[in-house]
Amino acid sequence: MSQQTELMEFISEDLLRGRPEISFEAQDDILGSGIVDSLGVMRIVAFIEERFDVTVPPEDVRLENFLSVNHIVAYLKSREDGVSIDN
Amino acid sequence: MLHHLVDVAAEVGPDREAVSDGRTRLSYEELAAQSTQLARLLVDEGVNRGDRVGILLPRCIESALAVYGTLKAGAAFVPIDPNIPPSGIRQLVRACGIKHLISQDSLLRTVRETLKDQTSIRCIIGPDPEVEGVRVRPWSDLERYSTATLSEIRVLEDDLAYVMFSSGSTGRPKGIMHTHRSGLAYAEASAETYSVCPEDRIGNHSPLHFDMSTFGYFSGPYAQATTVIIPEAHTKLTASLTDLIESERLTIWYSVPLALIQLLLRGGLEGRDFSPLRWVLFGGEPFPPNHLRALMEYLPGAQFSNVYGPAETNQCTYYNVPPLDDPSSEAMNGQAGPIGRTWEYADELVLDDQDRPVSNGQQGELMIRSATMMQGYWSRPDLDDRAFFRLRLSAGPDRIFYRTGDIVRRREDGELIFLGRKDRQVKVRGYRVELDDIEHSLGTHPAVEEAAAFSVREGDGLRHIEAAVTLIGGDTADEDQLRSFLGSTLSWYAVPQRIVILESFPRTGSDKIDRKQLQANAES
Repeated sequence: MSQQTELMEFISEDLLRGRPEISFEAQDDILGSGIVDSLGVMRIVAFIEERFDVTVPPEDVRLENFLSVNHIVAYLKSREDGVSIDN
Repeated sequence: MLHHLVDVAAEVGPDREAVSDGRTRLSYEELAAQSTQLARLLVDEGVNRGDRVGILLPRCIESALAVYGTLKAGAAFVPIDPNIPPSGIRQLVRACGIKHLISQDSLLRTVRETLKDQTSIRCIIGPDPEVEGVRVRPWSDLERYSTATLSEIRVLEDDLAYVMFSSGSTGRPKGIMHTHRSGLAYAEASAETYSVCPEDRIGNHSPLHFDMSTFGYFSGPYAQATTVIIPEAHTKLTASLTDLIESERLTIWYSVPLALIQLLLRGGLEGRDFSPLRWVLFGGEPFPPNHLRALMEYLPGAQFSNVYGPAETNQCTYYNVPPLDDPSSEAMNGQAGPIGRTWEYADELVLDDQDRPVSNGQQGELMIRSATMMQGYWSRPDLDDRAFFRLRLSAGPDRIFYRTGDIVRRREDGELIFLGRKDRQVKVRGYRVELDDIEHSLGTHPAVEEAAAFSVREGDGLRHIEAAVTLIGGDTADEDQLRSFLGSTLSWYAVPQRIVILESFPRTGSDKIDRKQLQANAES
């Protein structure tokens, strides 16, 4: 399963349980539209840290990295690239 | 009137920045002109004086236009939380007979979902694409209208300006009615109390449906200051929020403690320049003293104040937190601070359960009388009777106080200490939640026999809600199903974080559900 699909599933099944009327796409702004609240952001961070084995420093929790599922995927990609360069 | 605040500010300083979201900025001249255009569009679409116009918007710059455009059209605005389920939105629309709704593209799904069932809405203002069954007027249509003042619409001080909804105890939300008079009284009182001046830049963190937002939306224009509406995404991404506070050079901040705690814990505050920040106001719930102390250390130049006031009265007391080196500082001693003393624009009584005044040091219910007080609840005269306390004088008019339902104790030095609630209302992230409401909703699930909801204290001193249920013999339902069920009727912040399914409830001596025991179990 791709990171994008896993994130979409986590958000719709975990964060949005009880709100079946909400649907969203990978490019949608999940923060401005109220799909994810501030605690939801923390849970997404915890999820990607555990699932994709990265550490997300607080200063990375910003618009450019978390506005949409696609932004998160791009952020994860940049982290992987970063790691390989460091190595 | 409230809407004259922006017009006056536009005359005095047309180029002065009125509102900003960090990217888009409107000068007072632009805000005055565009809100007039919106008012003309609303009138063109059939809005009459006294009508209620719904505002379904996230935190964004257009919300300021929506507020002032509605008021200029002679109507009252009704802020609607975009995060409540469509059934909840329909309930507010129905209660207020809303025919016009101001929204935006990002909320089209919610709008369409809301309109799936019959509603009174006939016109949506803001979004671009078509919506079945209603007229849609996109923002770009504003340009077609004149910016000349609508002098023919007469609005008086006691006309309704806005209705703010809060949870009700039986699932029926209560609409708190404020007039131009109470709105203006608050704008003046708060601007004077915090010496707001045209050079100030106010960080408005509260969504429009939260009464704290009146500071940014009314007091800012009253003082011809700039209100920075913190955009929705920034409220969730603390690192970006820190950037915004610094780059927008905010001078006054007002929010619930949780927003400040998140900044403290995850905002990366080290090495930032917050020197312009002169006043940090917080309210809605107590600030855990350890976090308050830590935050004050980051912002040594700022005065911290605890602000208190139910949405029915708006702010009525405040407490200036003493500096950390003051030995009497509660934050220093690990205690929650007082809610303070009533400001000079309000009058207080502390009464026992027979409505007799209590002496200092004794606990009683706080009653508040103020020009900032609401007019009553929308279409609920039954609630008004219970909400107000009339003090008969031997001569002259009665003095009418609002019964806050908050139990307080007045210290010898006059400062009020908040002790708890008279009813089972709790505060979660600044939102009022009625535990009875949650139990009532859970009880309507076909598999639930009995339900109990209770608040649970977290390690950092904040609270969240949990619930426990027993099921009717042979029935099955799991936690997800129950949460899902509640999500379709309750506001998101009222849905318990955890629901446990029990074989039987712990009972008190009088055979009532022992909620204290359930709470203790959850906290252990």
